[in-house]
Amino acid sequence: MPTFRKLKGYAFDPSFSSTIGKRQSNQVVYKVRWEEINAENPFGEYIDIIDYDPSLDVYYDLINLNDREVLADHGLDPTEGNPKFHQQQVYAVVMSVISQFENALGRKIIWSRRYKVDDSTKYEYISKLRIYPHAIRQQNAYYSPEKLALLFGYFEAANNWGGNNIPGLAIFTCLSPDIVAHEVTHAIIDSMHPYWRFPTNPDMLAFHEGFSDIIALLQRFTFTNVVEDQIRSSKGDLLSTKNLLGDLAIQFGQAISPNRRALRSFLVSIDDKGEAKAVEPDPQKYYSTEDPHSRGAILVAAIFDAFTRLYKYQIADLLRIASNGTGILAQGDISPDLVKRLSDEAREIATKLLSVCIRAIDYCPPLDLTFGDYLRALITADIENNPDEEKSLRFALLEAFRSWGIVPLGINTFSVDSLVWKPLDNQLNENKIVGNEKFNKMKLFKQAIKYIFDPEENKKINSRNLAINSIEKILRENNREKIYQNYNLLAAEVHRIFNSKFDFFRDDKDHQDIEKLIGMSFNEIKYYINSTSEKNIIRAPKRQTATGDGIFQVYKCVPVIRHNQKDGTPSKLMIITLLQKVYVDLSNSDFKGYFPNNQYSYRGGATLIIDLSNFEIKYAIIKDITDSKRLNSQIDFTISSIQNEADSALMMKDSEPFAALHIH
Amino acid sequence: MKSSITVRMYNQNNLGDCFLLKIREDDYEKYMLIDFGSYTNGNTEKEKEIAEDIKNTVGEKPLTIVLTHQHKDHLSGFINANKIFERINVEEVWLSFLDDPLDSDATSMKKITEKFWKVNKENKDKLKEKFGNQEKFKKINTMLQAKDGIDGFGEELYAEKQSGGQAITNLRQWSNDNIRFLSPGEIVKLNNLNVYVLGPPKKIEYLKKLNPNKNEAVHHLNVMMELNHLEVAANLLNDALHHRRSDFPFSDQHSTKAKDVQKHSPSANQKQSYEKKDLEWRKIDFDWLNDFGRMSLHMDTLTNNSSLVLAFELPESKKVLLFVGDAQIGNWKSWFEVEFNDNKVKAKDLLSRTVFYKAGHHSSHNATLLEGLNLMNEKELVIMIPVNEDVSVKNGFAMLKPGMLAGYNRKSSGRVLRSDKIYQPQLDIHTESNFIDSDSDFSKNVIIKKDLLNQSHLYVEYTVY
Repeated sequence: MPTFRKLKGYAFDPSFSSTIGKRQSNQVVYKVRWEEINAENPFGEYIDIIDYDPSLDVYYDLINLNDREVLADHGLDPTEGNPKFHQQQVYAVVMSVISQFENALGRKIIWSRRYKVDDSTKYEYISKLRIYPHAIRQQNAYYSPEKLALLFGYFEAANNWGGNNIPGLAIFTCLSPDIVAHEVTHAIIDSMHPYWRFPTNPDMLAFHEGFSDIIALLQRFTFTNVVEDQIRSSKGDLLSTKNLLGDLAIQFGQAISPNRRALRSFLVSIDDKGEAKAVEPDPQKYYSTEDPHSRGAILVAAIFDAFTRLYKYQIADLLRIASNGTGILAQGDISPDLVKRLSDEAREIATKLLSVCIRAIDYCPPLDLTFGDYLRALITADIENNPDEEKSLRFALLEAFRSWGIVPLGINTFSVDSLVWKPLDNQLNENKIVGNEKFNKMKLFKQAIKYIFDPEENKKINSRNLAINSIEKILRENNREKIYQNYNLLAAEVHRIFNSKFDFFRDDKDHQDIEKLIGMSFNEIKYYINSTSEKNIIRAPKRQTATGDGIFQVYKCVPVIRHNQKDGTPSKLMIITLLQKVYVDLSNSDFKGYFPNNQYSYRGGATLIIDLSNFEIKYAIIKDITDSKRLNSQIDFTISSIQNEADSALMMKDSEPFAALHIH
Repeated sequence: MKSSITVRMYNQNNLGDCFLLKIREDDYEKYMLIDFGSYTNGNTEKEKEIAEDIKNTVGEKPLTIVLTHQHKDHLSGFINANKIFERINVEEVWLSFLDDPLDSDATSMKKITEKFWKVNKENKDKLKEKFGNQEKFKKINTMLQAKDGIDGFGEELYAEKQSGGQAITNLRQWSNDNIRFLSPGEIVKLNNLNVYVLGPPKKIEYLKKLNPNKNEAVHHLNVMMELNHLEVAANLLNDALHHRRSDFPFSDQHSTKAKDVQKHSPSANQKQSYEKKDLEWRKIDFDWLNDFGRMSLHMDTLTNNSSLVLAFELPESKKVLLFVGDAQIGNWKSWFEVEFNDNKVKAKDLLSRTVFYKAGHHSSHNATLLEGLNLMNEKELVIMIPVNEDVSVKNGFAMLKPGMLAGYNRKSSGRVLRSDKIYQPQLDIHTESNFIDSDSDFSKNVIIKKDLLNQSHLYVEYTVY
């Protein structure tokens, strides 16, 4: 079996690179992991491209990736005039992004499950993300969670268009690798964290946007010839505003949706002479920017700030060698050897950064994410990835995020030690739980975990639980549908066992330690609502029964084997996300009337990372369901973004959140 | 010298504004009508009844008409009751600078808006022609209705006539073209009484801000760019609907018409998977038309923010009556930067002396800036809300949110008057809030008149001395 399927494609949006200088580096070869293509799976097992154009009611002919002319010459030649090439380009970009995620995560991407049409209590496995390369006639492209599809638009360039476009020419969003990578990233994040789609704070939509841009931008660094070109033309100053960084940002800004211009204004400003200039980090912006795109751009700016810092640090020695110790390069072109070495450094950093950015997603809370949480996740992921401090990314990330004002709440110092998520035992010590209490509760909980996941423990008990079996299958299996089924079995089993353990704690006044640990609660919760009136305590009723799925959810239960980037040591982890929802009764509060039945559904929960070598809870990342402060700010935020129902329907806020986000 | 302003809020049995002001100062007497329109169609009879009442009240005296912004629920009466207004002595018409043909910002905005409406109209006609008969089309139609307030493609598209429309034409005729275009910073003298113009903002980036947020956002795009994008979007849709170029986007050789796809055509498999029965939820037949809804919504909010905002100041008592049209948050925020030419007054002073407030945008949550409301004079404040619960509920508008009403009631100690329901303190009917602690002075100054059929009230009136 071949390792790769090589396919030619554009590295940048062709409509913005028609100058001779750029044309050369714009054609690249995508190395897509080889997969079986057949009549059942014309675009492999992950995606299905349907090239139906509803505005014209036509089907465009599909490319057969197994055709001789496609296989023989690295795919069709790039051209805007043939829809078959468009499909090839989309396939290549989407599969590259999917591979990057899978490599970083150490597991297969499984798209969001969906409620069955005929039975809304059951989920259905969806094997393929659907892609419509020519779906709409707008300057827009979006991920539709409702259709589990990517919809790309195309349109005629207008007379008054900026950029390098020619009026009357067609512009295809599906030919822009940035846009394709951006949209597929939305779909992938959504498959991992579906609750991130629901904005409970101003960072959430911004994160979806910013993260997708980060992935799209870092794609550029995977192509050697593109990076080398840039280094050559910028004389090594890869990230100078005049060159790559500015170029990237401007192309991104020009490309398509006017909203995406935000990115440019956060990375680059254009001075009076029309020269691009780097924007200085401004910690105020994080507090004063609310629109999701601009806010997302702050995240992108912070990541690129980190990239710049690392690049400068890592090439300093090369520059000294090449300049006889002065650090200032002589006039004229730089040596091809130096170009190659600099490009290697840039690509190495980009690859590491990409990997850590992706892995960090696993170290995030399952809901109500903030940029601060993500920074903590990044630091944690980097420590996991590279415990040795040498060549680690974390200090650059730390500095960059701080200079952009992204500081997590509730930490004492802005240092790696205080930012990394805490292991369980530390948290317990902080709670000063002593003696028998600790012994009883924690021991039971830890026993439960050991019982679920430790094969040895399991053997002792003589009633083999299903979890071990599922874990083995998940780690061994190649068929994504079977993996999906085993994820479900595993989650159900973990839920069953946790539930019986939690049952033991219920109605027990002394179990707060467990609750703190998992961010959930099994008794009546009192919330304090900011108010000018006295009626400031509201309650979420105690959940009635001890059993049943309604009380809490084991949303995901994912075993992974990760390899330390440096020495390859494998570590086995179990990622468990727990979710709980309560209906807070607002009928006696100042928020009466804003929500249907005066109920606000409030979620809490945690991501638990369990080390499978010793069955300890290594990190517990918590969104406490009893947190009144979070509830207050969440209600405030929700109310400030309430719209008329009719307007929401027009914007399709519910069914197509990303469509509304991207346009106008 | 004794001066007063009597504000009469008509009940149109519908959502919309209609306020008749009587300004008195010793012998001086002046009538002013601020807006006149209803949201749903076919309210002509009621509008005529109101117009007759206005005519009878004003008599031979001169009337000034103010149109705050060009939305149907503020102007339909000027069209439907044309015959009656023709017999009224309309002395002068007040509009905002945005309607001034000599203002360059305004004209370029207007030009592009008109271009937009023209293309949009063409698009809607084409849409109806192409898809009007289809079942699925209903979804899009509903979206469009929501903003037009009419049956999708009815005879009168007020939305399309918004700039330089019939209402403005009528106003011009009645007043013999005696139009006054007002900009923020201007002060109009009516005898000794000052009328301060606070909005719409001259800085057009403010027009964009629609929703109240805790922190002020920085906007990179101004309104002109917004309008440009809207126009571009409308044109793109137009291209798509007309499909004038057969070679666009690809030449024919690459595609097959859906109806021509045969069993062995190259696209047979594709078509089969697209049309698979149990995968219908993944189809995209109409997604390309969704821009219609978004565009009209966007235009709608931009228009609301273009409202003319007036503060009337009584000469001796310095009490202020505030009329904000449907101004949304961006408009409100801009007031604090307004400087008045020959007067040291600031928006903050005016707000702090406000004893009467015409609730913005029928009391929807994004039409009153909390900081603004908080500044008002709570000892005397009276709030009038032109609203109709039935229309609001039926259309799912976020108006009359109890939180908002509670805020109004708290701020004004219950002195809240609604156009659709009469305030009766002893019955305590219109709110469950316990803030009502109204003083007797208030009800003394309130007059209610029954309508012709004696079924409900025609207006509620309150006088500020």
